[in-house]
Amino acid sequence: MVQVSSDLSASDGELVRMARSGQTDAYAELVRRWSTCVLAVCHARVRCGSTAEDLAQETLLRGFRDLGSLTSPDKFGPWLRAIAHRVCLDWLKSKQTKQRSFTELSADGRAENFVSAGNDTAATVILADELERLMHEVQSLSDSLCEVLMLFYYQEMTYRDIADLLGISTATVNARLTRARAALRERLSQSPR
Amino acid sequence: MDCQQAQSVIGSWIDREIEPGEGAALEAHLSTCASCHGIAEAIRAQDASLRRAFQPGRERASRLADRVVANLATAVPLPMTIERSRARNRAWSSWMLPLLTAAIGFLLAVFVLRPSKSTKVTVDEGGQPRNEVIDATPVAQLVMATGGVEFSVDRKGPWQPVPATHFACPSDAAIRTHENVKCELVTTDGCVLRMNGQTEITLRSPRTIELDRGQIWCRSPNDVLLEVRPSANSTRTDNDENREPTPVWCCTTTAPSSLLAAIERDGKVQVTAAGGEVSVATREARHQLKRNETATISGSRFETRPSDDSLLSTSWIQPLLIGKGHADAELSQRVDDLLAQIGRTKMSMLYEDQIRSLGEYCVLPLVRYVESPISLSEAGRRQNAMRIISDLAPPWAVGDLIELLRDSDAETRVLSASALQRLTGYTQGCPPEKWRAPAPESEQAFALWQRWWDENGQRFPSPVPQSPKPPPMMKARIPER
Repeated sequence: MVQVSSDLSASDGELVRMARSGQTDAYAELVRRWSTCVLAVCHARVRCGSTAEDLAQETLLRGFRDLGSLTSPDKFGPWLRAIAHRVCLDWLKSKQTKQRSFTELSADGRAENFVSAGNDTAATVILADELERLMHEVQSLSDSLCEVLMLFYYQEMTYRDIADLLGISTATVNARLTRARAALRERLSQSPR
Repeated sequence: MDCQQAQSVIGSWIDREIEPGEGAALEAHLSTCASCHGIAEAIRAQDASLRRAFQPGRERASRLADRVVANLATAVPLPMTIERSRARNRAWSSWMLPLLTAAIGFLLAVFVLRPSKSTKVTVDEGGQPRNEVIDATPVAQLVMATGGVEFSVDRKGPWQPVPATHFACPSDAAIRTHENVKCELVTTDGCVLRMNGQTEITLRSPRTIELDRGQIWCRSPNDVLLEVRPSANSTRTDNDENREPTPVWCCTTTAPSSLLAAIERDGKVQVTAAGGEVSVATREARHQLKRNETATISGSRFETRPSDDSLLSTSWIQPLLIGKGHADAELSQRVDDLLAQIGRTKMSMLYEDQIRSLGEYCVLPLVRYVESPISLSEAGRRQNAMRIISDLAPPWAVGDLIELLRDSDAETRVLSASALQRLTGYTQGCPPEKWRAPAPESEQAFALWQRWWDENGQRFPSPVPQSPKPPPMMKARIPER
């Protein structure tokens, strides 16, 4: 197990340099910072939480392996996102060839993921059903809307952070989130209960 | 601020991301516009739902980070960084870079275009060294796994988790499974290799498997000589530590056949010919295993015996078959074999009236028993089963009954025709008794039955329930004391 002893206040660029000099715990800190974001990016691409988890793991490990090829250490996030996109693209291409997720997880978005230990079982199940429908509709959004929404709600990133990661303006982030929310409201009001 | 402007920033206002000047204007608008106020309330409620919907995902992300960090200890980063090399080379890179690029391009071309095969000295089954051609290109692909699988290139590097997306196994790579994890690989020669939990192998070539520990099942397609032997790690020379480890056994199968091989904890090796014949060579002799025969190799001892229940001994591969879906032909065959064994047990353990009292529930196992090769050597028991089927078969059995019209046993054909007449009202011009002796009428009638089945088969139910509702269960009857 890698022990985390790196400076938690260090910037991404500093952590990348430390990791390159052999301090594996610096990359461990980068993993903790970026795993949620990478999972969100993968989920938005493949539209399946359990598959996204496998792909995110591969992305983070590939990032560690290929750290030497990162030209701008301060751009670690966008660089990792590009790796995630490639990993997802490879998976989507090979999907026809009987590839299966190795992580034994239930399909994402199933009701059991949302059922909590409440006293009112009927109400809990109804809520779980609603959340399942909501997640289903999120996964039906277009790529650009889905990715922004996933980044915002998975990690609660600020508009500025999302904009920096995607290389867009904060106004575009706001516009995409607004469109995504409107699309979800419209679809949920139309879909049968 | 009008409604359109307001609605474009309501989201950012709820997210506390609104520009300082716009917040007050929006709030003023919302206090006077019921429509926009309603939209703001809807977005706020939706925001709460989305946060809740993503909660499991956030928990997964946390577990993901822990898993990746745990794996970092065995991951290997690239040793040279571009940044370091740039700093070192900045002074002369302006003129050296084009030259270097050309040189790298040339070297890459040499590397890519070089012959992909190399030779390696190994020891053959007779203990003699030999040069073996090792294919450097991928030799197998992982098609399915029920959990974590790891690999090591050449066994020199650390063990790494097999990537989830695509894993092409290079030659000489070692693969291992964790406890309770099964996986399936297909080699480039079409050999299928399944690994049980806690199993470790080395793939020397698409048709050469070295077993380190655990249990494997493998099948070779036509014209492929598949070889399974122990790895250097699993065998040790007794006297001279400097001597090359020598295989003590080696089994080959020319197909289509399958074999089970296992190295037990006490070092004993078990090889079972699960389908077709398997040749097993030891230092002393070469042996031929017939189908369903098991060999136990321990030191210089070699013993054979009829294998245990083949369904039971290969039950560990079932999760892999189930993973391929219910339509998988191999899974269907296993279910039919299992039903055939149940049918045989019924016929040998129960009186006929006890079986008949089960009604139509007894029919499926009995049909599979009659259709199975295990009933061919039990003529009397088979005919008894066929009589029960003929009397009790429900409509879903029509398809199987038509197939049984081609059975080699005359009584089976007559009883099938009789059941078909009872169930459909047709004889297709050939009454049951005429099926006793092969005749032109029966051949013509069989063709008519097939055509009739093609046209009407969809009206009959399937023997396997199509709905998720389970079939009615038999309740155990406790005898009164």
